[in-house]
Amino acid sequence: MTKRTTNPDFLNGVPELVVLDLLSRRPMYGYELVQAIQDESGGGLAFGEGCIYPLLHKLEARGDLASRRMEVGGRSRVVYRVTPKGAKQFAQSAAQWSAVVAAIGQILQGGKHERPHARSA
Amino acid sequence: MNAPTPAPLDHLAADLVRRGLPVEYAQRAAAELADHHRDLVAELRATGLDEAAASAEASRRLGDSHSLVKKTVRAYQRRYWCGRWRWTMFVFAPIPLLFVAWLGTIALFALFIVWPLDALGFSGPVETFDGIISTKEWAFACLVQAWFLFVVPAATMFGLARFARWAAIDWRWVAASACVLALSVCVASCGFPAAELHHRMTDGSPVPADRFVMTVGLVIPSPSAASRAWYRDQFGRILLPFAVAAVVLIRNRQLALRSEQLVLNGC
Repeated sequence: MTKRTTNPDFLNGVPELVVLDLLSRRPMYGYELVQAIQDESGGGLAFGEGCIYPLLHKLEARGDLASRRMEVGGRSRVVYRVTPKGAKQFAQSAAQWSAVVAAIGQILQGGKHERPHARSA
Repeated sequence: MNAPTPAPLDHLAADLVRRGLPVEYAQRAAAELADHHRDLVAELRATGLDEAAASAEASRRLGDSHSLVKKTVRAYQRRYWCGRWRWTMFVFAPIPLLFVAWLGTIALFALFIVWPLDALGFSGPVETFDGIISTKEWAFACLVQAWFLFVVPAATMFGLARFARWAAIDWRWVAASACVLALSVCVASCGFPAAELHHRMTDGSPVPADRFVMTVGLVIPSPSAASRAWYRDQFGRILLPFAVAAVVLIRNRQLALRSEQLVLNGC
């Protein structure tokens, strides 16, 4: 049986954060965004290519993104950009993410220091 | 002009519409996925793959049509509360919703009819039970019975079916709601006491024939005692939510077929 390669559960909410971050830098269309995620994460984050659109539509319905059909490279594309509401949401999510990463990092680091001490006690 | 849709995604928009998504949304999602497929093919062709191999690899990376439809529909459903909490909305909520609707109509009746009439001094004499059902009493009983056991459950079912339509929820959830509502309505009854059911007051005396009674609980009279009217009433009540659900679902299906034509015609 082949093992399904999915992102771990603790990455819930990360796709939204990543999409908002990349689109806050410049407006992009779906394919471009998938490429940007792969490039920026060095291939570390695996996004199902077809999964990006439901996510973009969800963020758009929530008012975090706005879309416009534009001519890009001789083809008509739906280009997404971050709205002011999305920018605010991104700032909040990024701050929360940094706090969580710092806290988890501290615990993991502390755990490494504590273990030998606990064993010797 | 739009480029032709890649073959693997040929029926994507129509499939999405068939699953209950609005035409504009289905067309847009399908167009974006088709664009993505074309970009992938172009990228793969640039690496030296031929058209067929590039298209097959692009389809593999993007996902097959069935899973794309499934993911797109699920993501659309999750935008709505009733799509995220389907068990709560369509299986557990119908009974409380029915009670709220009943209580709401009682409150509205008291607030807008009984209270203003009382305030204006039009309240009638205190009700007495003489054991004779007058035309007025009979008309009132019919009205209350029709309202509580038919109109309110039908409206509740209609509301649930509309919620299901907004969130592109599968017909099975609507059928589940119809079952729950039919059972709830079946155990509630109101009207004048049927002689064959031998209703008794708490002191053991028979309930006067003109006293309006409301009961909750499964009433199953013996086959010999139950009248044809009683069975007709029970079956009518059970079938009503299913009938409303069926009407809404058939209507949705017709709209989906019409929308599907629009999608296929590229309108």
